[in-house]
Parts: sequence; structure tokens; C-alpha cells
Amino acid sequence: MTATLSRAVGPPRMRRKAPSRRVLLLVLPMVVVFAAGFAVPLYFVVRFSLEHFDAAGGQPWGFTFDQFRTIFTTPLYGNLILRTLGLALATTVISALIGYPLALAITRGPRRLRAPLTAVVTIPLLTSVVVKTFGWQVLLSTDGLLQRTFDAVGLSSVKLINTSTGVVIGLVHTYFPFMVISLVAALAALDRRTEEAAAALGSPPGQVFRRVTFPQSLDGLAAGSALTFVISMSALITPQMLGGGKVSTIVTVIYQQATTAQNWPLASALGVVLLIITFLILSLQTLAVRRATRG
Amino acid sequence: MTATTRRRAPATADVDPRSDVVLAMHGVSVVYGATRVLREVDLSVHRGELIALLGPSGSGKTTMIRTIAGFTHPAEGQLLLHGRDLAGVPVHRRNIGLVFQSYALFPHLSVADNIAYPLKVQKKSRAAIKARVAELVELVQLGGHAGKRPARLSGGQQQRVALARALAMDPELLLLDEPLSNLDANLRREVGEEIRRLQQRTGTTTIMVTHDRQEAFGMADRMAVLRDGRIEQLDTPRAVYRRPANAFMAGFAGDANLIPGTVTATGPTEVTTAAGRLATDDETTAGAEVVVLVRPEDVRIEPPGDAAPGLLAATIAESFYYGSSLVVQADAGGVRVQALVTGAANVRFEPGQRVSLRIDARDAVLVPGGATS
Repeated sequence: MTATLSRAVGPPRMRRKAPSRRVLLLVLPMVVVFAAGFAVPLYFVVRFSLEHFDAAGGQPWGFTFDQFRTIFTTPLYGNLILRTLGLALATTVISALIGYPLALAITRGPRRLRAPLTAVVTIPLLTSVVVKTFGWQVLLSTDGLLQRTFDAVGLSSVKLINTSTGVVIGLVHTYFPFMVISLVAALAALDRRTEEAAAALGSPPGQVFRRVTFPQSLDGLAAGSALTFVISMSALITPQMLGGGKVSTIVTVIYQQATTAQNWPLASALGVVLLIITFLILSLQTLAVRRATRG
Repeated sequence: MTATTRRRAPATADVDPRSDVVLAMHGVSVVYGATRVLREVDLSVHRGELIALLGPSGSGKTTMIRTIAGFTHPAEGQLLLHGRDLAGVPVHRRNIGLVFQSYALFPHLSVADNIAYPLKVQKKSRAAIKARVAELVELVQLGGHAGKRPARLSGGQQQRVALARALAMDPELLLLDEPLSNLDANLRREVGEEIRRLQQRTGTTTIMVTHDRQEAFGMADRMAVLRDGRIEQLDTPRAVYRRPANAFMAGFAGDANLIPGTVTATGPTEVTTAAGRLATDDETTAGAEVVVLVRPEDVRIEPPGDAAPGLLAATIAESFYYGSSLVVQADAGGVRVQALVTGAANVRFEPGQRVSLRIDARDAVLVPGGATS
């Protein structure tokens, strides 16, 4: 009764207007950039991936799934995809292991540590990837500081330059800021009172973290992981410079095929595969977040 | 100038001294940097009672419950829970329930899992947890919501979850921080009464913080009024209202006419004020300068008549009609006297109208400490 009454005398419902021309005008630049910079190239990539390749005769216009068949039946490419995923996974896991404590220190630690720690995270982002990677080349090389240290402590069997290990080190340094930023956002948004409530309900500090803080940061961890995984999976410079041609990933092979071998159809098909993997991972993350927030 | 006043009879039945003290605070002071937020607070909370900590913002009431909960540590003084010193006892070992103003429910857990939290922490058996949660869900009337996430509940429902979660641990003491302030104004009284019923049914010893005196009056067995980190008065709501400790308390507890005067006769006491002569049942010494408290609802408006002790000649200045009551401002010898007339549907007063104000001797209370305190 009261409800009907208040609805009757309440303010009139706003009727949703059709988007006006002015709004369309506002999004027009974005639409142009999107079309020219993304939709059209994507179309060509997909189109190229469905063409023949003839090393002698170039690229006769046609329609075939030859490239995809090659990728999915040749062990070489299967291994390539697995290695790429493995490198991205290792990078993501290590970034999470380094990033979580760092994010905790930034959000929970003493205030005067906040600025220097944030700098540690943001400076790699502000530095050119090439410069960073050159630095790592020096450190990781056979007579570099890090390799010598490894040799000195009896870890000489671990080789750093031109190995997956070196590539992962470089990838972690380049991309862990994305993990930390996602985690800091999640931890800063978390209601600290829930932690106090957990303590008052009988939880010692470790349990508060396990049962209340960590579960509430899972969204941030999922977002950071998806981001780190996807970006490190599509990295080119780091695997090329630190892998020295011995650690190939989908992206380095795409680069080789497109530039050296001039095999655009195969390069495009690999690109499409990479795109699909990326899409699957992002969908998985969205799904996980939706499951977690479902009431 | 301070007058010595004695009460003729104890205004309230004091809390039974035989009932056990759950929480005792002795001379507790809390210091943040250079500011002293709590100053030598003494408080005894008895089993099963609900004490309201009432005070304006910044009076130290939230600090007080955070200190009791263990988030803040006193610089001086002692806290005893069932006689056990709480110094050095961490928050999670105190067994003191706390309901936050924002409820602080765990957003990642369902209603049932929120309530089950303290039981899981205590490592109760699965069957015992299930039974206790069902019982609590029933108690706070959340049947049908147990599987939902807190975000899908209304404010009032969330608050009941927070209450059930705190009660699940069977706390020795329950602390409620502004339990009603996040609710719609029209829900507050209803929820307040519900909390009070629940508290009485479960017999949970409770301290509630509020800045709303209506809440404190309606829910509390006793109320402690805080001001600048000190307890100004600790007594039953009735006593605080009828027998305020000082002029500040008189005004804080409700609308008040505070009329200064001189005692001109004793046994029975008569006070001569600028407004006229007032009779009071309180006893004091002749010649003392006093302040007389008269609540507006105790002022009766009558046709003009001869002045007598307790009968003031006055002129109506203004009147405001509030539906259930009529607030009248009258001028008695230059003193503004406010009267509250209830059931006044057909009563009208015009400005300038001459009237008599009748104030019974039992309703005229001498306020200790004079006008300033």
C-alpha cells in the first residue's frame, strides 16, 4: 500500500532517450581509430591466414586451411605453442609471488615506504623495453655478474643467457608491474573493517589474511594474472634479445616468418592462434570473476 | 557559585550491586599523539544490561569501544573482563563481539558463512555449526536469505547478519558502534526496538555507541554521557532526564528550561527567580544561588490568575503546532519559558495573550553545579 502510494507520488520515471547526434559525434574519433587501427588489420590477418603459400611463386589468391593444418599437425608448432604458454605461465606465477608481498607492503606497510616501493614498480614501466633488456643481456651473459654469481655458488649448470630462464627473468622484470598495480588496486579497495571484524570474531592475524584478506583480493590477482599472462605471451623483444634465437615463441616465429621467410599466410595463422588463446584467457578471467561475485 | 543540593529520595533504583560485573574500566585514559581522547574513565558493566554511550562526535565514544575491543590501547588505567586484566590480550582472544557501523560483512561469503565464521574459527563440528547458524538465522529473521551474498541484502538485513555473526561467537560482551546510523530514518526505531528485544532475549551484555539520544533513551538500561573524553553522567535514562548531573546534561538530555534564582525559603524550598517564585521538592540551604530545571512538558498553561509559588504570570510570545504537540514560548518577567502541550488539537494561543504557567514542585529540579559547568 505504502509502496504503491510512494510510487504514485514519486518523481516521474526518466524515459531513456535515444543517443543524440552529439554523443555519436563524441565517439566518432574512437570509431575511426578502432576501424583503421584494429578492425581492418584484423580482417587482413584473418584473410591472409586462409591463403596458400608457395615459396617459389609467392602468394596465390585462394582459400585454404593449410596453414592451420600445418600448425596443428606439426609437432614443431605444437611445442612452440606449449613453450609460449609455459613461459607466460612461469612469468605470471613468479610475478604473482613477487608482486603480492610488494602490493601488501605498498598498501599496508609504513607510509614512508609507499613512495619508494611504488617507484620500484613504476620505473620499469617508464623505461624502454630495449634498454631494460640490454641491461639484462649484460647481467645474464656468460661473464656477466649474475651468471658468475651462479657459477660461484655452484649453480654453474644453470645458464642464464639464451635460455628460457633468462627470458622469464626479463619478462618478469618487464611485466610484473601490471600484476602489482592490479593487486594494489584490489587491496586498497578492500574494507579494512572486515579484517578487524575477523580479528574480533577470534581469528589470529595469519588466519585473518587467509580467510578474509586473500579471498577478497582474488579479483585483483585474476586480473593481474590475465594481464601479465597475455602481455608476456605476446612479447617480442625480450624473448628475442635474451633468447638469442634459441628460445622461440609464437611471436618470434611470427616475426621470422613474416620478415625472413616472407610466409605471410603462416605468420597470420599463428597470429590468429595467439589471438584466440588471448581471447580464451580473458574470457576465463571474466568468467572466474563473475562466478566469484555471484551472490 | 555552587549550591549544595540533596535529593530527598534516590531518584532511581540503582543497579543491583550483587549482579556480577562483566566489564570494569578503572581510570582508563587513551592518548593519540598530544590529544587525550579518553580521560580517566571508570565504568562497570553488569551482566545482561545494555549501556548506551552517548555523546557528540569527538567525545571519545568510538575510541572507548575500540579500546574495549582491543584495537586501541590505553595509556593509563585498567580494563577487566570478568576480573581478568585485558592488558596484553590481543583482539582475537578477548571474546568480545563487535558490530561495526558499516557492518563489515565478508563480501566473499554467503550470509550463512558469515554467521558461521566465528564457529569455524573455534573449530566446532560441522553439525554443530549448521545447527547454530540455522538457529541464528531464525533469531534474526533472515530465513530464505542464508545463501545470499551480503551485497544482495538491504541495509537492515545486513545489520541483522552482522548482529547474528557477533552473537554466534557467544561473546562475553557485545559492542555496537552506531548500530542504527546507516539505516533510513523511518527504520531506525523499529530496528532499535528489535535489537533491544534480541539483546534481552539472549541476555547479552551490551555496550552501544550512539550520538542519538532518542536511541539511547529507548534502548538502554543505563546510559553514559561522554563529553571531551569524560563520562559526565552514568545513570538510567529516566534519572538522566529527570536528574541531570549538571546544566550541560540537562540540555543534552532533552529540551530544558533552566531558570536561575535564589533560594528564599526552605522546607518546603522556594526559589525566587526573575520569572516569579517557584516551589521545589528538592532541599537546599537558604540564600543559595541555584538553577531550576523545568522540562517543557511539565509546564501547564492556565488562564491568568494571582501569582503564587509555582504559578508564573506570563505572556505568550510564539507558538508552533507540530501535530501531536504544540510548542509554546512564553515570556515570564523577561525569562523565556518553553511549554509543550500535547493533545492540543483544539488549543490555540495568540501572541500577546496573558496566561499563568503552572509548574508543580515535583517537576522543578535543582540542577547541581549552577548554570555553568
